[in-house]
Order: sequence, then C-alpha cells, then structure tokens
Amino acid sequence: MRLSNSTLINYLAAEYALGTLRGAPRRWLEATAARNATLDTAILKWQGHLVTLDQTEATPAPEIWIAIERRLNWVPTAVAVVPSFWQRIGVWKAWSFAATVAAIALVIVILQKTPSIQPQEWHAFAVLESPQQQRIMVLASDDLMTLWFTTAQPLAIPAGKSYQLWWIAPNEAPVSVGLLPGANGGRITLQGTATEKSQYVALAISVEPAGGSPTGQPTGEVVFQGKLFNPT
Amino acid sequence: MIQTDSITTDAAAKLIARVAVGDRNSFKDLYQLTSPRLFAMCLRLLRVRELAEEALQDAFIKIWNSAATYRSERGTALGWLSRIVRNQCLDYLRYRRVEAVYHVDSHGNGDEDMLNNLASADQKSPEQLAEAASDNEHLARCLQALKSKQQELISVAYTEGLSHSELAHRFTLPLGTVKSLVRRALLSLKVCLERGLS
Repeated sequence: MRLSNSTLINYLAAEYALGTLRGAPRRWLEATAARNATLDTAILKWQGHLVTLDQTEATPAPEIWIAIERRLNWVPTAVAVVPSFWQRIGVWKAWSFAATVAAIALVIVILQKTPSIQPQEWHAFAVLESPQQQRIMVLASDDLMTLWFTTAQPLAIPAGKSYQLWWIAPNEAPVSVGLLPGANGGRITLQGTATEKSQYVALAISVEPAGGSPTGQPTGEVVFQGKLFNPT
Repeated sequence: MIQTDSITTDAAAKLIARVAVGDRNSFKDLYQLTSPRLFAMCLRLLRVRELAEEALQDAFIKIWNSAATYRSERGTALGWLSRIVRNQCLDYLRYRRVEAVYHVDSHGNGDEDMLNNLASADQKSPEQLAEAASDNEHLARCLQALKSKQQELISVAYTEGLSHSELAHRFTLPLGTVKSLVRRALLSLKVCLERGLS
C-alpha cells in the first residue's frame, strides 16, 4: 500500500496518535513512518496536539530513575558466576528486592479486587529478570491453569537449546513447569490444583538441551528468575 | 518559542539534542522535566502503578537509544516523547496485562482514587495552572467545537487508551458508529487546528 493521499495520511496519523489504530495496521504505520517523513511529521503533529489533553502529573518514585540507570549499565551490578543452582538463585535475591516491594503492593491491589474478577481472566503473576535486566512478564489465568509469558524483545534462545521453566519452593528441588514455547514467550498449560501450587514462591528459567532437561532437574545456566507476585 | 503546555518544548528539545550525543546529565534533566507528565500518562493507561513504572522504564531506555532520531522540525519534543511512552503502554495493554484490573475498575473504587491522589499531590501553582490552561487553549477550543459525544470519545480514547471496540462497549454504541464518530471528530479537529495555526 502506497501512501500518497494527504487526507488518508492525516487520518491514519490521527488514529495512530489517538491510539485507536491497533494491531497489524498500527505496526505497519509505525514501520512506514520510519521512512516516510510526511507521515512521521503528521504523527508527531497529532501527538503534540493530543498530549495537551491530559496535563496530570505524577512524580515517579526515586527508585525508577535508579532502575533506568542500572538497566543502562551506568551503575555497577553484582554479577557473579557460582556453580550451584541455589547459589545462582541467591545472587539474584538482592536485585529482586525492589520488585518484591512492588509485588507486595500489587498483591494488595489484586487481593482487594479479587471478588469481582471472573474466571479465565488474567492477573500479573511475576516478572522474571535476567542478569542483563531483560524481563519476561508472566500472567496467570485466575484458575491457575495457564501461564502466559510475554517479552518486550524476542529472547536470544541459543540454537539447539530450549528455555525450561521451573517452579521454585523453599528447600525443595525445582519442579519443571514446561518449555517456553518460543522466543516471544507464549502460553503453558499447567498441571495440578491451585493448592498443589501453593508451595511455590518463584519461577526460574534454565537453558537446557532442545526438548528439555534430560535429568528432570536444571542442568544449564539459569537465565531468568523472579518471585511470584501473588503466592498461590 | 513554541509552547505546547507547561513543559516548554524548547527546553526538552535542547535536552534531547544533548542526549543524542550521549550526555547522561541531560538525560537525567530530561527525565526530571518530563517524567511526571509521562508517568501520569502511563498510570492512566495502565492503572497499576507497578506496570506503569515498568512501562516508564522501558520507554526511557528507548528514549536514550533513539534520541538521535528526533527531528524538531517535525514536531514538539513532548509529542515525540509521548509517542514513545504511549506506544510502550499500549504494547502492555495489547498483551492484556491489566485486563483483570480493567474489569474490576468498571465497578469503581481503588485506582481512580489513587490517580486523584497523585494528581493532587503534584498540584501546580495557580500561575503554572494559568499558563498551562493558556497553552492548551487551542486544542480545548477545537474540542469544544465538537459534538459532546465526539469530545468524550476522543478524550477517553486518548487518556485511557481504549480501542474502537472498547469505546463501543464503554459507550454502548455500535462499533461502526464509534469508528465513524471518531473519524469525523478527528477530521473536524484537524480543520480547526489548522485554521488556528494559519
């Protein structure tokens, strides 16, 4: 599709800036704007107009700026290579402190709202973080039978390897959840009842041979880890 | 100096130009100048503070990485920043990360109060409010020229990030009617905005 009609360009730019243009058309317009100055200008003009609609201000917590600096590697982070699975999990505990505080707040929000949440809806379940601060957002269906993994950028899963997910319970061996379906995440159907899952406090991902760990326990590097927001 | 509202586009544009060459101090200044507006935008769209904080972080990483692509002749700095931030938030919405929260919000309580409290916590001085109101006058005047339903649709679509079908559900209107109302509203706004600028 070529964009030459100025009314059409303006209309698409307006719908894009407003946010009502969604899905594939939105992505197509974004890609087109990157090489079409007329469209890019039209979008920016609309964004400039619409941004004046809402002049509310809310100052983010100071930790947010610190987190941004950390993600840009402007402040040193403690990265250590240690041999055991549990020690590797331990290294990440300090990093996840802020996330834990945030998680508690979210749990409160979710608990307050739980009575009116319908079955088969989703709630935020965990944020898994890598040593490079890449993140995977995990949603859970309210019946805890499905987990949904989403990433901002595709994961760099090595060729011939799989990312395997593990339930983590205190002082217990990790229990396999299954393989991450793809580099962009995906859904995993869970086994067992919510009560059976109540012992788990965290999720971790290790790199395993394609098809999963041959031993039933993590054998490769732990690449993502995060505490559950809302322990079952 | 062009001023879109209380954040001068001049100041933000100068900072972005310095960020484009890797000036970390300017990036921090840009964050301090613009993050209260952009964070409020995320809160309103995502409604859960933790997700809004995640989206703001992601967006500022993108702002650092793409500052060199900003062209001041194409639009205001705040418009450019809001595009990155809103896209990040809409991506989060796209994955239905907050679907459950949205659902319960329709029953009232909780996050609306949180937003109201946040707004009052960051209250501007009367002078700042007057300045912001004056800067915003142009768009406000054009919005007022729209029919009331169109005004409402545009305002809700933008501030809450609703899609056509979500707007149709909210306002109990057929999808086709919503699309048509939004389209006509945007075309009217364009004519009005251009008339004001000429």
